[in-house]
Amino acid sequence: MLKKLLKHEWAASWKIPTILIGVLLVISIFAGFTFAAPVWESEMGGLAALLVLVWMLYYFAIIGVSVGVVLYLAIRFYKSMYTDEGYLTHTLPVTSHQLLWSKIIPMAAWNVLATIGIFISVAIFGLMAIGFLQPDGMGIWETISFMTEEMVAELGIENIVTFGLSMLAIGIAGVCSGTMMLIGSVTIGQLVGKHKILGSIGAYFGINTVMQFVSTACMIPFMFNMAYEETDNVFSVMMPMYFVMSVVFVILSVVLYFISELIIRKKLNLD
Amino acid sequence: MAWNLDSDRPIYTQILERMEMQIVSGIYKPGSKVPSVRELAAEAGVNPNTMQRALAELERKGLVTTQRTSGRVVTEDMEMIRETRNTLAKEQIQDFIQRMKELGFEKEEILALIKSEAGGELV
Amino acid sequence: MSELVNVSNLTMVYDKRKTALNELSLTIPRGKIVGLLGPNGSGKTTLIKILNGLLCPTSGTALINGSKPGPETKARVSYLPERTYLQTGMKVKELIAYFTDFYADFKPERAKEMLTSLGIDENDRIKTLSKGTREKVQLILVMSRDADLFILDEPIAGVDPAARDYIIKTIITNYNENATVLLSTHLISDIENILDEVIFIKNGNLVLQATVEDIREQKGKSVDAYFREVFAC
Repeated sequence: MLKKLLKHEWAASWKIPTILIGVLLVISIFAGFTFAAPVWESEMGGLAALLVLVWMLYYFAIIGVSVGVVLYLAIRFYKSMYTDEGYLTHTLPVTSHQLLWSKIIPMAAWNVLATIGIFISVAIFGLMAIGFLQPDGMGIWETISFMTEEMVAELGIENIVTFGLSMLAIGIAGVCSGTMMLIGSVTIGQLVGKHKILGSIGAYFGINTVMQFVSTACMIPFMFNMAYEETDNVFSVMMPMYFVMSVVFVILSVVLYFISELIIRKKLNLD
Repeated sequence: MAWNLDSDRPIYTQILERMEMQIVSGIYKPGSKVPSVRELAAEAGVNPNTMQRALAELERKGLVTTQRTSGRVVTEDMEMIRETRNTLAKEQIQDFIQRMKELGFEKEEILALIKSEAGGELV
Repeated sequence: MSELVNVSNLTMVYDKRKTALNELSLTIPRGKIVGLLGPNGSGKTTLIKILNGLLCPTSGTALINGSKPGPETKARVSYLPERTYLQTGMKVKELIAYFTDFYADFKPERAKEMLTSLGIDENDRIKTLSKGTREKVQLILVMSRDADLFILDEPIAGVDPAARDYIIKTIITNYNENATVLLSTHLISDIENILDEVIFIKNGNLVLQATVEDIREQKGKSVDAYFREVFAC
């Protein structure tokens, strides 16, 4: 049943995020071409202003896509679970766990895809900048290999791998907690009798505050460590901190999952 | 809804009366197939279980028989149909007499009235 | 296990003060068309939601085929809510595929036949259909299942007389002998001829459960008239 749920959920939800990310990629290419304009040598102020406008558009497009995808998924979740559509969703012969996973998996997937999309977009923009401007008189590939060598020489390959892993851990934790915060806050909002949407927004900020508090609490011991032990390697302090925070965020996500499941099973109350 | 049923009498009785009437008056011809319970219920806009009970009663009375191949059919026993027809006629007349009595007519008056009213048709 | 639905001491209290159902106990047999009747706010919809697993009772139990509402009962119960729950972006044929995927007892041919007879195009999107047509599509989807229990919440409210006749006909022709139809309505006179039994509830309590024929025979009046008498203000 989970497979079927996923199939239909995906079919109903893939279009809009795909369009959003597609538009972002087009805008980033468009924005990248601004570096080809010989504006830096000319005196044409108007053209420069136009180019700045294009960069701003690009900047807002990135924000728009990251917020837009999340907002779209949150609204879709709310609509299919807690509005009139919920009358069908909750009378399907499936368990509340299956129902939740059928929402979590596409949402998490879109979180990842949107992040990858934004990464690719920034890469396009950056590479086009390098390609057109050639700051050190080098081509794109030369610049990349030069920068990589610099980084390895500066930090050591071991630290770079650890850094990569910790970023991966933070990334996974971020996807889990981002998804579960949306699902959790919309679901907890259902407990607020007549003002469910307001309740959801309130719950979102509530959960966010808890998350901030917990992550700060996790950071403090590491910060003290850094202050007192006068270590010369920032990485040796930062990396374990990132890993601990990741674990804590995943645990919070699991807690939110069980709270949401319980509410759906025991406290569901469609209008 | 096709069948006009009274709201204050049991539906079952009314279906039965109506089916009898349709058989006696030849709307359902002797030996012809009776529609399925579901079709009849849908046509009449009544509960299928009630329709089923009415048909079972018709079967018990012998006006309808069940054949292995073609389902329910109207009886071909003309004697039976005639008898039912007479019974229904008698019931109508008794009802009529009852109502006339309520209006204060005596037996002779009723007979005279029938003769004068329906005279043309009867002779 | 002989009774299809078994409700015992069912109580539902909203927000700790509004009692919608009060220790309600009743049973609903198989193979019957049952009317769930009561004034507004009597607890009809609350009972229906509990039977469909859309609401968790405060106390007491509701059993269908001996099980509490859950995935097993949902696979055997076909529910027509008062709301239109169809995703407006979907096409009619996508909805048929959706129902075919999730409900093992859904009969797509039956649905298609009914759609054709009403002249509804499978390729139409829900958002292009009128409110009345959407309701018909929903009824067709619900009645195209071979469920044990059909729960229809106000199926004929707010539809024109021709559609009303169609709905009544659809209910009669589509349910099989072992299935039960539980339908709530306040338009009793339109529907009482097709009912086997009626359940009257008021303020979350059972007032009466009887067959339509018994009421007519014993009271000499229609269920509609009797209802007015029982619930006279």
